[in-house]
Order: sequence, then C-alpha cells, then structure tokens
Amino acid sequence: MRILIIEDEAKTATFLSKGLKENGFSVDVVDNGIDGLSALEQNNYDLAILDIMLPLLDGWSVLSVIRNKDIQTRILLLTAMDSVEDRVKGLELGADDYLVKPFAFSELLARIRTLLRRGTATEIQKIQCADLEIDAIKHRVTRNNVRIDLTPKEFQLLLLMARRPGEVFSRTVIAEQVWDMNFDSDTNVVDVAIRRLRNKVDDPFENKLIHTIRGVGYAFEQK
Amino acid sequence: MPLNKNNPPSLQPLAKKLAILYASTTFSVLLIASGLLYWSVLDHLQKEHESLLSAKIVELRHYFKDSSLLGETLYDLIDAEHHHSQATHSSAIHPGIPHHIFLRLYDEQNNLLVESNLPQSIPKNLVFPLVDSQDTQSISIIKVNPESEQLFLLGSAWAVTISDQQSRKVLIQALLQLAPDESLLTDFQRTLTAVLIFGVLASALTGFWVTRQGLRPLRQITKTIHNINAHQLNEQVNSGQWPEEIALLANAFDQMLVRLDQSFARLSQFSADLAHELRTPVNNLMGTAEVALSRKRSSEEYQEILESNIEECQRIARMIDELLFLARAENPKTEITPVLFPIAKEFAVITEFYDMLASDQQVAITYQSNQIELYADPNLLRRVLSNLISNALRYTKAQGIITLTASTSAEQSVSITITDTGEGIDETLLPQIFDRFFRADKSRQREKQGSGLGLAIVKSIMDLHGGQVLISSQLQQGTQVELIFPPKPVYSA
Repeated sequence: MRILIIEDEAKTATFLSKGLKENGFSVDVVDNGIDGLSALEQNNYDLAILDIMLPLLDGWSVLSVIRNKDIQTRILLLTAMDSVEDRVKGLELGADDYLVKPFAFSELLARIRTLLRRGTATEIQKIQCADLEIDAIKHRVTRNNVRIDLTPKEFQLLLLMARRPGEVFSRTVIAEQVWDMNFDSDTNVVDVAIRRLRNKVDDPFENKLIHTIRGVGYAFEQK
Repeated sequence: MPLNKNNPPSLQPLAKKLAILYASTTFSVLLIASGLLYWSVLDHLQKEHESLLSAKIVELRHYFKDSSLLGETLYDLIDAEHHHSQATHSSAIHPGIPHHIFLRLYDEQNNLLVESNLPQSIPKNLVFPLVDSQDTQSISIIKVNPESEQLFLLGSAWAVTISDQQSRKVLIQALLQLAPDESLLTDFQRTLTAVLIFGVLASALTGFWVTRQGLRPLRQITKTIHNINAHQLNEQVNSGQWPEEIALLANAFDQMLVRLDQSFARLSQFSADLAHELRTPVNNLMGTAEVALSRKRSSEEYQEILESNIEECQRIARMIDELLFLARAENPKTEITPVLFPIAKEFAVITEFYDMLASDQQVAITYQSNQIELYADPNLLRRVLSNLISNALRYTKAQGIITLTASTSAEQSVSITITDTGEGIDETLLPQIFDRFFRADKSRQREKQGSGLGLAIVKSIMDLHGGQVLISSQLQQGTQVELIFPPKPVYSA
C-alpha cells in the first residue's frame, strides 16, 4: 500500500513516515502543496495524508484540484484547525476523513486502515486465534473448547480487537466503538473493562492474547 | 484620539446642533407671533377706517336732516369736505389716520345730484353696495380691491332730507381710499424684522453657551475615562458632583468597569492557571527526557520513559481538547441541534458505560426516568452525564450509591438530578466549583484527579441549552447536582 504524506512540519512528517513504514506501508513525503499535487497526479497512491496549512498551495486547494481531476486517491486531512465548519468544508471538498492535531498515532493508523479497507471484504464472522474461537453470529466464545461467558459489552470489546489482530486500539477508540462515547473522557472505564475481559479470556490460560501497549492502548494478538 | 480612526464620522457637536435647534425654534415662534401681531394691526386699522367712513355718513345724515340744503350748498359741503380732508389728511373724529373721502349723492330716481372730484387714479367701475331704500338707518360698507394696488372702502346709505316741507331721500355713496399707510406699517414691519433677527441670534448664542455649560461634565467624564486602562479599572468616574442625568451615566459606567475588572481578573487567573496546569506535565516531559539522555540506558528503561511521556502528552492533548470545547461553547455563534428523545435511553447508555467501573468500586448506579422526554442535544447530554458520574465515582466510597433521576416541573422544564452519597464538598467552595481548573481538594495526587475542566464543561453545555445547573452538597453526606433544561420551544417542529 502506497501512502503520500504532504506535510511541511518536518518532525510530524518524520514520525508519520517512520510509523507508517514500520506498519508495512510504503511512504513518500513532500513538504509543499505544489509537489504534493504533482506527486498525486503522477503516481497512483492508495492514500494521502494532507496537511491544510501548507506553503505554496494549501491543502484545501490541493484537495479540490485533485477531486476536479477525478483522482480517486483516498485523502485524510490533518489539521490543527478544529472547527465544525472546517470539518464540513473538508468533507464537502471530497476528503475521506479528518483528523485534528494532536492525535494519537494509533488512531491515525486505525483510520488509515479503515479507509483502505472501505468497500472491500465484509466483516469476518468466525475468528480463530490460537485456541480462541469467536462466533460473531451466535455470540459464542470458546477457548480450548471451553465456553467463556461474556457480557454483551465484553463480547463487543473482544470482537472489536480480535477482528483486527495486531492493531492497537486507544481507549478513546474503544469507548467510541463499544459504548458510543464520542468524546475523550478521563475515566479508566476502558481499563476496568479490559481487566475483566482478561480475567475471563486470558487469566486461566498460559498463552496471553490481550496486550497492553502502555500509553497507547490495547491490542489483540498471538505473540 | 487615534481610536476614532475606525469610527464613523461623528455628527455635528451637540452644542452647535442645539444652538441651531434653539435658533430655528425661536425663529418660528417669533415669526408666528409677529405674523399674528401684524394681522391684528391690519385688522384694527381696517376697523378704524370703517368706523371713520360710517361716522362720516352719519355726520352727513345728521346734516341733511337738520337743514334743508340741497343743490348749491351741497357742492360747498362736499368741496369743503374734500378740501378739508386733502389739507389735513386727517379727520376730527379719527386723528392720526390719513384719509381721502369722496362722496356722491343720488336722488331716489337714481339721478346724480352731486359728486366730489374723483381723482384719476380711482377706477370708474367701482360697484357700491346696494341698500334697501326703505331703510334709512343702516349703512353698508364693503372693501374692494380692483386691479390696482389700492384698497377702497365703499359705503352706501340712505339719508332723509327735508326740503320745502317735503321729505326726500338721498342716497349717499362714500368712497374712502385706503392710503397704503406706508409710514405706520413699514415702521411696524421693520421693527418686527429687527425683533426676529435679534431674537434668532440671541437664542442661537445663548443656546450655544447654555449647552456648552450643560455639557461640561461630559467633557470632564471623557477626561477621566481617558485615564482608564486595563490596569486601572478601579478608577471611579462617578465622583458624586455631576447633575443627576450625568450621574446615572457615570454610575452605569462605573458598574461596567467593575464587571470588566472581574472579567479581566478571571481571564488573567485563567491564564495563570493554564500556565500552571501546563507547567507540571511539560516539566515532567523535559525532566524525564533529560535524565534519560544523561547516560546510556537499557531499551526497557527507554521504553518506560517514553511510555510515561506519552501519558503526559495525552493529558496535555485532552486539556487542549477540553479548552477548545469550552472556547467553542462560549462562542455566541455556536449552535446546538436539540432533538426530543426519552431520557431513559441516555441513562441506560451512560450507566452501562460506568457500570463496570462502579461495580469495581462497589458503588451502585441506579436511574429512574419516569418515561420523561427531553429536548436537548443527546451527545452533549451524554458528555454532561459522563463528567458528573465520573466526578461522583471519584468521590464516592464503597457501598455508596449514585442515583440519576428525571422529573418535569409545572413550567414543563425537565430537570435531571445526579445524587451521590460521597464525601461532599465544603459549602464555601461551591461558588467556585464551575471555574476552570478548580479542584476542591488541592492536596490530592494529580494522577487521580481529572483535568479540572469537567464541571466547567457541564456548565457551558447547560448554558448552550439555555438551561441551569445547581449544585448542593453536605460534607460526608453527598452531593446533588441538578440540571434544569428549558421546555421544548413551541415554534420548533
């Protein structure tokens, strides 16, 4: 998957490029709007991360030019401007998503994956990871063929992470996806929920599947 | 005044405006008054002339009655009258009024008996009023104004004369040429004009002077206000020596200064608090990074430091997020999109979210909504409830209960109450509880506390809804927060 980063802030561009490369993407970086525009026109990128405040040509203009030329690269806008009007403007001009600085890298990664997945495979209904099996339709979880009883929210939480093994989920994303809390709350509800889930899913077993990525969030994966 | 640069051009000075106003008022009053005066003088003069004419006719009647003279003597009489009037330009009865009276006498068969010499200037076609020949008492007088500039009074009357033991009737036609009376009226007009001009000038000048005097306090107030800046907001404009109207203005201004002073104080307190809030996490970031780099460490150590730094950064990021939310909420242009929904639904969502945390702390969360519907923005309400429950959980010990209830009042407003059985808040701290970065317990560990913005956000969301938030608390008994939402406006669908 090829990703283009159009960002004039060198440090931001560097950590984005590094993080994305380490997650298996091939990444190009340009630091102004004109170069960004020609790169998008000449190459076939799967996704571009576009800053709004750019030298020479701003992000809005880059966005509207490529959409006018019918270039269908997915665009994720990255900005420090956080007003509802800006969001609406971005989406109206044809951006696929909008992320406000400061953001967690894990969240950016999650959004990129969602954007690239969009329109492809349907959600997997049966998941197998090591000796854990999840049946999304029957709401059944077994480990080592032993049935594990989960509350509906615990099940949702496990399913969310198990469907994308290896992906890091921040507390904010988990609260949003599982409980529909669309704002950052400073409680440790998610930590408590993960602890309970571990209690049932991981604690009785040698092979741990739920991992804490300290300072970032949680991930589900067989290590 | 450099500040005036962007102002619209100011209107004329008040003193000038008032002076013009005074002058024009005086002008119109004087004009009307002198017009009336002039008209009444004219009227009076005409009445004088009429009475002069009728007096002359009466005089003639009297004369005819007493003596039986007609014919030759009549000429003498008329001539004499003519000359007399021309010579003196005044009559014995009405001294001071110049006049020329011309006479004609007709007999009953309408034959001209005699007439005085009419001057050329008098048109021949003057029509005298008709008089009933039986009536020897009345006199009719009309005023005519033929093409020429001159005015005439025309009088007709029958007189009885006794001649050769025979009574005869004679028609007297008298004509009084009204002289333009130049001297008298012109003098009068001149005086009136002079009075008018002088009056207007005098009132303009006094108006200007009086206004300047009256506005002097305003200039002094302006001077005082010039000395006020953000650092001297306690300067008093109302020194108590102004006239009542100005004192009211000065007083209002002083009150505004007090409010501004408070706002400035709050703003600078907020900036100080913000800097203080940032200082600790930034200090932690700098410190840990610096210490980490001071010597070579194991990768586990580096990892731990980075993890700790990310936590600090997340605190800062959340603070920025919440401050931006507050700033947006305070922007008067911000609008919310309220909908009507059952409160029970939101209660269920929020208690489900906090359920695990609460049972972890052995605190129960219950709710009771009585199937009430609320008109509000559900996302914002969720944030309000989340902040309040998170606070309640923080201060409620094991075995405590957090209760959410909803009720409607007589005015159709909906109130939601969040009650906890926690440690409560000191009553003296309640007024500041919605201030940004306010924390009841300063000694608490930073990590265990929220951002200090939670209740400020609650308040701003309630303000956005046009609602209210009330808080009451008793130490060791618990805290109760009441959210009052206004009823759904009737006009909206």
